Amino acid sequence: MDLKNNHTDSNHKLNSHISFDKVRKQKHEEELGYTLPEGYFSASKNEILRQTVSKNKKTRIIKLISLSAVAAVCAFFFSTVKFTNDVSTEVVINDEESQILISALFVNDKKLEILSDAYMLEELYEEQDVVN
Amino acid sequence: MKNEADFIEQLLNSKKREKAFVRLLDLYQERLYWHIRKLVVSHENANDVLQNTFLRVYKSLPNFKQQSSLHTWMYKIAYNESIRLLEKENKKNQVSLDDVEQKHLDNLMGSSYFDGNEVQIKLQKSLLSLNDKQRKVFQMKYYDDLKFREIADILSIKENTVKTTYYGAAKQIEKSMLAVTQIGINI
Repeated sequence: MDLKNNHTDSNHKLNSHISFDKVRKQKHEEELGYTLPEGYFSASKNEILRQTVSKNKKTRIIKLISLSAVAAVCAFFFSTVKFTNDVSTEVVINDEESQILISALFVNDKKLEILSDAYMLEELYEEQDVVN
Repeated sequence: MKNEADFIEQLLNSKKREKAFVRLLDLYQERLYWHIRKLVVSHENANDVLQNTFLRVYKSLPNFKQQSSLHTWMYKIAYNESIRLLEKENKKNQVSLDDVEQKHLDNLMGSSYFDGNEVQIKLQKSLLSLNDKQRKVFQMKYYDDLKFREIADILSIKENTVKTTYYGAAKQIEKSMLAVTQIGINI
């Protein structure tokens, strides 16, 4: 046990970790009596990757599949709606009242006001004619 | 360190993260395992904490602000996860603060992954004779090769306090080990 040799920083370098891992393992086993199941680090690495990177990839694939499914449903929905609208448009074209109602939707407020005023005035004139 | 800056850049880049994470695992898996093992004692608990540590690291990587080095950040997460497990266990088993050391020793002696001879058991007992702070500082310095500054950061205490604590603990260990063995300790 040499406490002086402990003051090294070189183990912080990214590429020299393997030999330091060996020294560290030896130190823990020989001085502290800790042991490990055989092949522990390899099994643990796989388990950690399964729970992180692989899970993330799986989630991405599921998301992609879900998005594709949603896109397919949306496409189906819109094509159905379009088809229904096409059918109903045909009906509207044949219906004169509905055509007028729809055209009314495209008349702006000012024009509508003028029209209603004209209609009111016309009604008033007619009433006056009847009185006279 | 340029290498570390590049490595951090890869870890923060969502496209390169997965590959970099595998490398991070290769670099830190063993050292963090031993760091955790000394804190939680049993292999089974160390395994659980190691898994939780890397899960937390993976989830937290996008938020890594680089306020400390990657090295310190990893150890800090491992340390916090270990403490979390110990607190949970002590609460579950209703262990009082006075009984923590005895519980620690019982766990060690009962562990199927502890094969200590007389000297190793004596060293473990000597470590347990230190107070909690002394033990943690000594283990982080002597066994984990952490810098005083890094230990101070992990334990949220002053660097000078870490130094004083370490040398005090080392002297105490040396004294108790010299009583049973002829192994010399150079401080």
